[in-house]
Amino acid sequence: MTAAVITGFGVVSALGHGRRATAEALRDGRCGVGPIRSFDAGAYRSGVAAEVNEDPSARAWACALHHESDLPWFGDRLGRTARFASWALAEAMSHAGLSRTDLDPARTGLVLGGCTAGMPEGEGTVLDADPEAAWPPPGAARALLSIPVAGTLDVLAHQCDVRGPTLLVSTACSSATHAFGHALRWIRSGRCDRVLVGGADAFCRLTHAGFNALGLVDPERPRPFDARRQGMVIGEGAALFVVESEPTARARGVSNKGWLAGTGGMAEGWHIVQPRPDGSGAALAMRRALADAGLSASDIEYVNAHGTGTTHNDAAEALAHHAVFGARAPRVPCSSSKSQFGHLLGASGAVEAAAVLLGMDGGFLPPTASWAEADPAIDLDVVPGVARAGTYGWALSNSFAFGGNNASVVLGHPSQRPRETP
Amino acid sequence: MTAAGGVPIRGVGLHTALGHGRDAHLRAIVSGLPAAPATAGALTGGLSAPPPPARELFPDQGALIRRIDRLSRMIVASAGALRDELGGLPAQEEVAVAVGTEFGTTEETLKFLLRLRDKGPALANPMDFPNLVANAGAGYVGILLGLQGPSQTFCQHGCHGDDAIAWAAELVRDGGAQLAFAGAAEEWGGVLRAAHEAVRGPRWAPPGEGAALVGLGHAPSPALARWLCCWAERLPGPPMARWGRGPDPGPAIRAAVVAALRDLGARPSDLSFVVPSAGPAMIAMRAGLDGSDGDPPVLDVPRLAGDWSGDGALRIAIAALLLSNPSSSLGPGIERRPAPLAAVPTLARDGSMRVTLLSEPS
Repeated sequence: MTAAVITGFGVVSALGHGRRATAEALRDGRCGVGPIRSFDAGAYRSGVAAEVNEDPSARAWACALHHESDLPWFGDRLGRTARFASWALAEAMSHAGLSRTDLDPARTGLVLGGCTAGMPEGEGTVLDADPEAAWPPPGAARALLSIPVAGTLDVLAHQCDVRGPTLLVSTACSSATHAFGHALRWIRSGRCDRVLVGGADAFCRLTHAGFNALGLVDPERPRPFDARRQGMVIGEGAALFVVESEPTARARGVSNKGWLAGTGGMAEGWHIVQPRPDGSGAALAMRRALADAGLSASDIEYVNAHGTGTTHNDAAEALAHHAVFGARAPRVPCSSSKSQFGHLLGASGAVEAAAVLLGMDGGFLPPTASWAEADPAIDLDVVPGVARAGTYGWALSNSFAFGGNNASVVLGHPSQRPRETP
Repeated sequence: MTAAGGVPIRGVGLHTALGHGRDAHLRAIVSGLPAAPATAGALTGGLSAPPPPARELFPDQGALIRRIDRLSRMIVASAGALRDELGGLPAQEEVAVAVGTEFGTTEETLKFLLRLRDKGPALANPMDFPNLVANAGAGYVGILLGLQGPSQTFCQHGCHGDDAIAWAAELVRDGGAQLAFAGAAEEWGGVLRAAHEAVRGPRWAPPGEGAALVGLGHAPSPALARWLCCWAERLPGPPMARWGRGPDPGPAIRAAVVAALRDLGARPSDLSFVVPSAGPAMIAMRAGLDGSDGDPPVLDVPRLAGDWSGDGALRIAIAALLLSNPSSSLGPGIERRPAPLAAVPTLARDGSMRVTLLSEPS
């Protein structure tokens, strides 16, 4: 079975644009949450989010990377979600030492996870329309056509001229983690030599209203695993990865930034919003990922939690952690990067995988920033406050979604070897 | 070329403008009579499905069914029909679900936004929000049937039904599940009608809606057909290419069908019939694949059931039904060839192409 190598990745979020800025923010325990800038949130229970700062320096950075990788630059003609995805892709291609013309279109796949796509632009046709005027207002129909989640996939497929298989996975918060599973499948089967994979989502009023209505949002900042936690804070951004078959990567001499070793998923069949309280569904997803990677729980040295900061999710995830790791559980660090990125919904699995790889590369365990008070029901080493110096060979990253759709991915330090190699 | 490596399709769950269940769809195929278009209300302009019998199929789950959106009800009704066809399910953890949808529940999304605009965030209905996620339908199938296997939802511009079935088939083939419910669904309504009217371009069939699922893998019911493979590639070009501009995709579609057959060691003469998507794929198949042995007859499902994104799942299901019943005609004056395979080519709006090949059950 062909092993899958991550040869490059890019990340855009409220923590900053690019791997370097993100790694510094992770290390320092900085939080990207702040007052909402993109709309007037005065009437909402929560007025905070983790929004991307699209200042001129960010655009200049992105434009330069597009140029370096020979990717078409669409600028503001793209909606926010597609823009973030395009920026992250450009950084990933540059990191992997690839330009558009290096890709063999028929042997390249593209798979993304996402939820919101063009909604930030499309919802305005309704929310900002005169209630007295006839619907749809002019331009609304075209804007609505931009809402489908596949729009982001279109843009990237065109930018890279991908002619192999393409997929857009939309399973809410587990979307991007599932996307890794498809990339791995195509590499292992030999269908693709290279897969561009990741996730992207932009902040919008619809999701902010929805999560506020459910009472799942903290009005100040996310506090995963903390006794005072009140909920999540929505974020936005994207992370894209270049995954290659090991022979392909070896042939061009590109360095390994990490192994994509295994994925696992399941649906709980329990409730459309709440997780199974005993964590059994989450534990099953984690075990399936380990089995797919040919590893056991004893191989894992770090877990990047789903860790939304909601009452139910964090409690269930802690139980799942203990179920999987047994007596070792309190000694397997388990932190939540949502404490810093916010919750990027369909893109969360991708940016959190980036956090795992940045920690591997930088010799630190990403923290659970803002954690201060222990919850007696949650016996975890959450890496509180700032990053902790340390290394880890194999890591697990969890994503648990609406509909009880759970997914986990196993990532490996370049110094490791996947258990099944040709 | 052998069907032995194929994944058995053991049942279908169909709910479209042609009605609910396999019999309604087979009758429509044989008679060649299309569904009647809706002439009033929000569904005007399209071929609309009847109310999905979700409560009848899940009589003990009325409280939950009352809360779910129309698109999810169509999906759940199809899943219930499929469950009944299969005659029994393996262990919960061994049953996977894969559903494709391009737009999700547009009508409920619009209602949520209008309420948000008119009444403010404090009165946004928390019960409505979970129904807006694309994977709500797959989630409700899992909840109502108590399934705990892998679950996926794909959203593309037209080939997500083909992809959902392909993912499920490969999962079963590779031992990741014993059985899978897989297919796609789309709903018609005011939102899509407005978008439809605003976008200029050729119309090949009236817009439709529905849900179509197939059951792949191990179940008590006999196999209808076998899923063999799904050829996947994307034509070059800008996002959301509008057909009628740019190069004719017909040669590429024909080449894809021939290539998919060749990979199996088969030829166009092994095709009993083809069931293409509306538009360029239909035109290409009617133009023929390989004149030397005669071209396979073409079944125009979109003309009967309407053209909806992801209807590759419906066409695959119908192909499976027809393969299981060799004496069934493809419609008035359309005789199938005595051959073991069927091809379901799909060309999506974004230039993605899929060719699913099915074989007779044995």
